[in-house]
Amino acid sequence: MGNQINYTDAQKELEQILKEIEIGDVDVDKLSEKVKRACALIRICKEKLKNTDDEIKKILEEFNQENK
Amino acid sequence: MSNIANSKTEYFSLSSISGMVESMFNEKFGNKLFWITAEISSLHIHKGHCYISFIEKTKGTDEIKTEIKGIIWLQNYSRINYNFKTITGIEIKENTKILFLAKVSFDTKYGLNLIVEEIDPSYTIGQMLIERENVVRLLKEKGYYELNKNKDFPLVPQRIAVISAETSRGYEDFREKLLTNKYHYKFQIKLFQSLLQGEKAGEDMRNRLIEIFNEIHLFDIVVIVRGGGGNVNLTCFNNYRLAEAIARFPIPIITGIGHTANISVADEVAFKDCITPTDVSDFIITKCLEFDNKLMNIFEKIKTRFNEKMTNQLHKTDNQMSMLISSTNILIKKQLTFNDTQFIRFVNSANIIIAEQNNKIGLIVQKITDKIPNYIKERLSIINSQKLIFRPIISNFMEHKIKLLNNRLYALKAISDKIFTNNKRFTDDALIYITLNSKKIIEKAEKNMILTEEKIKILDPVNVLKRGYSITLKDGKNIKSADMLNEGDEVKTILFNGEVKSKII
Repeated sequence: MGNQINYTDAQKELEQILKEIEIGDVDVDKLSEKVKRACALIRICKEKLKNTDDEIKKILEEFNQENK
Repeated sequence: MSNIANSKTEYFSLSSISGMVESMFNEKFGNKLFWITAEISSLHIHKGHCYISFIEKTKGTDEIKTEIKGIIWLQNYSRINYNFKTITGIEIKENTKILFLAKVSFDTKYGLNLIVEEIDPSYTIGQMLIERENVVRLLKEKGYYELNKNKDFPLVPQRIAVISAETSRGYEDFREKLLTNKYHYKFQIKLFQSLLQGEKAGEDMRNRLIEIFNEIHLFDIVVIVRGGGGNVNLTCFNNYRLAEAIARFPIPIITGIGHTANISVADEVAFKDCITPTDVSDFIITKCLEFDNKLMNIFEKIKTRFNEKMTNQLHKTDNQMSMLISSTNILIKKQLTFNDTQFIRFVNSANIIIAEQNNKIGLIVQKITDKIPNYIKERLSIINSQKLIFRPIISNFMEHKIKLLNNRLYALKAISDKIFTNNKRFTDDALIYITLNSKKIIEKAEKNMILTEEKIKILDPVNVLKRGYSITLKDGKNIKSADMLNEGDEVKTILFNGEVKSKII
């Protein structure tokens, strides 16, 4: 069940982060931290979900490129 | 009948008795056909003939009330069986309740038999449904019915316990479809081999569920799949014990057991009935995809919001920057203006100082210029007062000298002015310069004056007079020629010592 709890927790945390970003008045530094955390969570989930981590690399690269 | 009972001495062969029974049966039933309902308690095929044991149970107690043997002859069996199987989906087998058309026959050799001519499958279907409904009703009564359905389905069902058979086509399809999914989701599958049809299948599957339960922490969901083959006995899936185990199972169970007409109780109480094994795979993959999409959706949203915020921040920063720049500009301008004002003030002060200095210089110059004529005037007045009478004689000379002095004075003034105007900034130096020069000029002028005075002194008529010369004046004018005089003119003769008035004769 460990796996499952992580997916659920990850989703909860992601939704919380999204909520905070959408509603809250997060300052830029905190925002960056939160977005980094969100990316890490997505990466963990994606790794667990899929055989390959190419997809995850793509996501991270995409994110990094767009926000340089 | 009483005859037979009472005549104890009379013996009958078995066959004669059975013959009597047979004739009675023939008399009573003949070839009459009856629709009879009964449950099959046992069944066996011998040489193509089907030998059945029919029973009837007492309602509620399940106690056998009646038992009669029956036969489906070879010539009827295949037709009846085929028909029954097609319609009910099950074989004619033990524990099946059937409605059949039969002759009641008594054979001297085989005894009492029901000769089955026809079976009505719809009755069996109805009976099965009733049984099925009883199972469902019982599950509902016990509160198990909704239990598995109400389980939370895992976000990502990746660890799967499968109840099936390795040789089952359904298991193969399920596995293949799941493991070769185009999204590359990974899955762990553990197979729990079980019977999937027949009387014992229900209990077997239940035992597999118990095995899975013992290592429940390893699994997210349970899948029951079977496939291949059309109308087989799936009544095992209506088995109460299996249905209860499924309903009460702590993790979701998905079925793909390929039913046709009526779904089984197992399907009904399971978390999800997917009908076919490949549909089970699709369902699982879809769940993973949903989560995956959810992640991507959140990711996109976060990214969008993040980018928005960053852009806003950039704008904000830009605005702040331009605000800063404009305020700085204003400040600088103010500062500049201030500096300008200060500069102007400075220049003004400088001007004032210069003006003051100029004034001072002016005053000095004035003093100098004042002094020079005063000096000359003084000198002149001395001369005038002393030698007033010689003035007419020397006046020209004096005037000339005065003019010269004045010219010099003007030149001096002009030079001073020029110097002052040209050297405003160096007023002090200029002042010193001017002062020094003025002194020299004045000294020079003074020297000149003295020289002039001496010259004048030399020319002074007094000195001439001293030497015995005299000056003759007529009407104040000195007479240089006798032509200027006429007879009777009065003249004044100035001597070194005194004057003489005389008349021309």
